[in-house]
Amino acid sequence: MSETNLRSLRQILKSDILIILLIMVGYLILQLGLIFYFADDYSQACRWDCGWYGNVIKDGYDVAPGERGNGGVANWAFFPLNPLIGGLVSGVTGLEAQPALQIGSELANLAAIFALFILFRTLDPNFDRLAFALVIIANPYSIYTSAGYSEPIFITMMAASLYFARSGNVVLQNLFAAVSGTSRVTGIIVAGANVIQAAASRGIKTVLSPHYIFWFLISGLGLAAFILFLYFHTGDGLAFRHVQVAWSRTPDKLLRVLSGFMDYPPTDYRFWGSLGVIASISVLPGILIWKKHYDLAVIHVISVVLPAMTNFISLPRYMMWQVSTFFILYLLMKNRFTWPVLIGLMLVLKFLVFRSWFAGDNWVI
Amino acid sequence: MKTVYLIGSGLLGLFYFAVFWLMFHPNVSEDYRAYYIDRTSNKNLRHLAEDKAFFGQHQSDTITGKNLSRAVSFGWHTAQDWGLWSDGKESRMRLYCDWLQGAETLDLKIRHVNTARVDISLRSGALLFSDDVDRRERVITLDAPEISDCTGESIDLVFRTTPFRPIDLGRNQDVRELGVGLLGITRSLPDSPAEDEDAAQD
Repeated sequence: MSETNLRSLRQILKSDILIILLIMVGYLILQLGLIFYFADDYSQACRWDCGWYGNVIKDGYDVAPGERGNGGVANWAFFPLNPLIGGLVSGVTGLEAQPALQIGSELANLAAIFALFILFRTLDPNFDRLAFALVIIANPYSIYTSAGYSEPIFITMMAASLYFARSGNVVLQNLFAAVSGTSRVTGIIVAGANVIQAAASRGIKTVLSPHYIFWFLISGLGLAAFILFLYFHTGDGLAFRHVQVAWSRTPDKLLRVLSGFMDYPPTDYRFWGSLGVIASISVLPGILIWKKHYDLAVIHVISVVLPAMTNFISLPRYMMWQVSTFFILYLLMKNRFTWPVLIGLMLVLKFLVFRSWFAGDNWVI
Repeated sequence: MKTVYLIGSGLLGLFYFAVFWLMFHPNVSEDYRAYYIDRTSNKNLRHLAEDKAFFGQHQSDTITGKNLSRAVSFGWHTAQDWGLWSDGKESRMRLYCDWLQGAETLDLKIRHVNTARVDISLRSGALLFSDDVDRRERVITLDAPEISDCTGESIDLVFRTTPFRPIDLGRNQDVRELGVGLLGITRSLPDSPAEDEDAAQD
């Protein structure tokens, strides 16, 4: 780690650690309050993908499809970083796989809060701590941090990679990108996004140096390792992608998928999903490009377009849990005209998401 | 140092080339390739995938037990020897038209974990069945043009009910939310009565 990065991190720890801790505490109070409002115990938050990650911890990756029933599905779609953390928590504490996964995800979320804090402080010279705190605490899709999902560790790795890229630390930006590639398939996008940002802000020569190219190539090792593992384990290195068909997720042309919303009434979540995608890949990247955050714009467009090309299942989660979305919400929260509306909307949505989660509604999976 | 980076980059390049080669040369069975790869990676080969019938729905007029996992798509618990439970308020079943082809009706053997209203509809919204179902097994017959004239790829049936947790009912320590218990699906062809379930198990 370069001296500049160290000094910057030390400075943040010195001046802002209390604020970061307060944000974490505020977050946990609201999070646990909502969980215990809707459920009798914390373990009930473990649903949907939580079970899948849990079985990766318990039994490892499936060798053949359909071993667990439910059609041709298999647990290959669930990238290894999240269950590795859960397994580590389980090993240290002796907890069962699923509660360990939940605790691991909560801890990863605390790391995500720290990583986003230092990133946003770097991105915004007039960093507003209160606006940041409100975005984190009111995050409408925070249920996933208690459900053992991979979102928190994905955001942590992405934010850390972006932070070190902005600080000019080519080694750490790519090491974090490499780890990010083991959290979700879209985790690898951050490596390319960093290149675009560096080329735009520091000149194309920067990214063409042998040092830069070597470390950029390192960023793909995490994803490549998972692909190799799947190849030797199942015979199909792209099993994580191919198995999506068993959940009826087959790639189609984006425009055809989006135009499909005409078939649904406004009472159907897919109608709003389509509108959300259209807004998300047109307006929001425009704001980010206008602010010269090309890296965030690239991450946002690809991370939304890729899942949208299959179908709308889980799309709100994919859209919300992006560094780019958090940053746009933060900018809106800073604005004295938009913040009262935004905080109200976020809190109402948060309540609805928690209620739907525990009611078993599938639009929040 | 520049040379070291260049050599390192070259080696990494070769490594990624090897990974890419393996990615596009999977070592899998015909069935796997047809269902998972040809349907997703190359849509021109979709018809081949349809012919392969990975799910084995073609093999029998009746699907029971763990084989039911091949007919459900979303919102079900893991299949057991007797069948499977729906998970939550809504669950879906996907039936392929090439299996349904020629079927006049579809018989579902179901029960409920408690007693509750069960609605079964097509994904388009058309209601096919709505009645109170209790813990006793019963066979319901679904009769709709969408089933007998199924011409697309597949039809989706949507099951809606109120789920219960056995622990709340005082039965056992099972904390899962269970709703409809699905024990069997039978297609009724015009001139061949439904197979006996036991004989149909394969």
